[in-house]
Amino acid sequence: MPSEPSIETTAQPRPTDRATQDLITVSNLRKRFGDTEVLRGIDLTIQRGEMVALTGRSGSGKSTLLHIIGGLDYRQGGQSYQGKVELMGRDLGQLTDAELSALRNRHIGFVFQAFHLLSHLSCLDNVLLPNAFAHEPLSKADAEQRAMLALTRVGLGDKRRSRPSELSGGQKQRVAIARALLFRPTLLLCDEPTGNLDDYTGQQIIDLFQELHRDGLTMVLVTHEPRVAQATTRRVQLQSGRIVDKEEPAP
Amino acid sequence: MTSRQAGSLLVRSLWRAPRAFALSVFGIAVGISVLGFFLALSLGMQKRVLSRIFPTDRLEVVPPKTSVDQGAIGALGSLLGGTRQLGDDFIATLRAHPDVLAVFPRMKVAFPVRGWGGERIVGRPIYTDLPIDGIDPAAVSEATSPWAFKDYVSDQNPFCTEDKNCPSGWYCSWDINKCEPPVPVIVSPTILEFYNGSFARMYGLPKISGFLANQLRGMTATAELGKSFISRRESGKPRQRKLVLVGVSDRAQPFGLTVPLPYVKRWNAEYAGGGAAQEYSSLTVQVRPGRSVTRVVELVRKQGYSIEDNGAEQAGLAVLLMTALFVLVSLSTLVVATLNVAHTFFRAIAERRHELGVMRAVGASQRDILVLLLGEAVCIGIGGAVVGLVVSWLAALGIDFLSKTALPDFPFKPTSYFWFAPELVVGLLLFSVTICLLGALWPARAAAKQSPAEALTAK
Repeated sequence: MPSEPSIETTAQPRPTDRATQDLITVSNLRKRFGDTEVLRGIDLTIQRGEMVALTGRSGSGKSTLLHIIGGLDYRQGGQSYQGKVELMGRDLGQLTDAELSALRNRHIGFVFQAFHLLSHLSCLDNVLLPNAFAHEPLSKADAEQRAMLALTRVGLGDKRRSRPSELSGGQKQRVAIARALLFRPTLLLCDEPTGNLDDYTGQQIIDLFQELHRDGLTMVLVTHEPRVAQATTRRVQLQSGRIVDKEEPAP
Repeated sequence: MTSRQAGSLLVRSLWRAPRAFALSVFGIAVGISVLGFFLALSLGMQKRVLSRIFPTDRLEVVPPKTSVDQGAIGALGSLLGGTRQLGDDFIATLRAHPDVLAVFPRMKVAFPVRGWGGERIVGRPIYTDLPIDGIDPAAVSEATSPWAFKDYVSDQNPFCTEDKNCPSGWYCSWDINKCEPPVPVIVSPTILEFYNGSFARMYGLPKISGFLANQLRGMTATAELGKSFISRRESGKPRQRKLVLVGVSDRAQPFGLTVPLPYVKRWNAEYAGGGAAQEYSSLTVQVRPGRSVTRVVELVRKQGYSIEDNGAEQAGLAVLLMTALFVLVSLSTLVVATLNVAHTFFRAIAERRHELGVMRAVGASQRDILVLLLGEAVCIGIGGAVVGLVVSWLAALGIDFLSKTALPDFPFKPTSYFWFAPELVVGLLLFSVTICLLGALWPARAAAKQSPAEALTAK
């Protein structure tokens, strides 16, 4: 049996002094898929409260980097990558599956290009999904109240009973964002969040992200869209698995 | 993940693809229904038919029938010293065996006996020669009435010269001038079954049900010792004895009348000589509960005696072979169903790869994914078992109904050929769940082990 996760199970308060707290530290990160090395010695630090864009062409390794930072690239019996990735001071490569799962559950929210909503669940149940896997789940009433708050925050309070198939692309992405916000995460990781949306809807999502950032949420966005990158506070460009252009965190 | 959360996700997951769930359940249900049907049939035949005809915890030991039974040495001994007799010495040997609970000697009447009676059944007396044997009264555990199944002849019996000198129900045996109740007689269920299944049908006579068999208790008949309707041969001085039916017991001989052993011993001594009163015709050996008859059979054969071949072995073997055949057919169906479950799971998991990846992303551990997928397998197993058992039970009801309405009565015809023992139902349920778990285990483990990133980015 995996050991019980020892991380805190509630979201930590937002830090007031962003510059002094590193949330993510990536050191000499290398990753191979077969014979192809997709990440070639990445060094990167992201501080609390930042909104960072990872940009680059297809195949540059930005999504792979995002997955590793988010603890999604897990292999039983050992690290699937070389180097060190620390999130909230914890070395992800040393965590068990249960610990990593608990970390994702309480501290990381994910938003994907393809939305990845469960089609057989209502919007409310999709937002409640993280609570189903929580080590200490909220009561049904508390969870539903929080899910409704999240849905209202993304402007879909009236769609709680709708199925994903009844929603537009933008609405689906908003539900996915509400799901990511259920446990008020420390970090929001977004992989091409506007890739499947038209310009107008994409801009609405960007506006929502900026609003969340203003509230103190740390965000990392993978994107190849300049307007999304421009909306962030810092841009990191990857090319062939290396960082080729990196802005420094704002003081 | 709590069990409530898991249950909720499980139900919604199954509910979103009811057709796939129903197909998987159907595959398992087919196998379980066939397996359940034939196992219940086998159990029913064993319990309701074979055990009534051939008790499995009992042996009938008889003197060696042929030289083949005894082997070469026994045959030589027979030629030199005559056949081995079943006597008190061998009874003592058997009683000392650890697997033997009791030994009850039987003795056949060794001279002609004829009788008449049966007016209460057919309306007029039936005249026939009577095959009678005697058994140790201790062998009969069934309740008897109006008289106990025991020897009533004693020196203490009142002297009499005519019936009115005797207590009510007793009569005066004029040859010994002693009062006696009628000789208590038991008959076997076999004779009743054959009467109902053949004789009553042939002659349009009333059937003897369990209730009627009780009503017939107390029915009297007359036996004339030493005389026969068939043969002119007479033995000794003919005299009459009253018989009274006191009960039905499977300890009675299958075709004939059985009386307490002391009567037969006295009658044989008087009509057939002292030797006939010492030699038992067979020994009923009751094996201790849970013990096998095998070791007792070995002892019996080693001592040069035979086991009465009543067909139980062959009948049991026939049922076993038929059951084994159908179980094999059912198991092959279930193997196909298990592969079907595995295939269904592989396909479903491939289709749901993104969904499982999302679950992992929002906090599901490998264990959570495994629990969810195996939970679905358990639901399919339970569903398949329930549907399969209901189908087999309905089929059994149909067969029983057809048997009742379309088949003529025959000896030992049961009201139901099937027995869905609780152990069978539970066993099939567990079996069904197990094969579904086996079918789902590999794909579920593979799905759980997959990295969330791979699951989310799979094409």
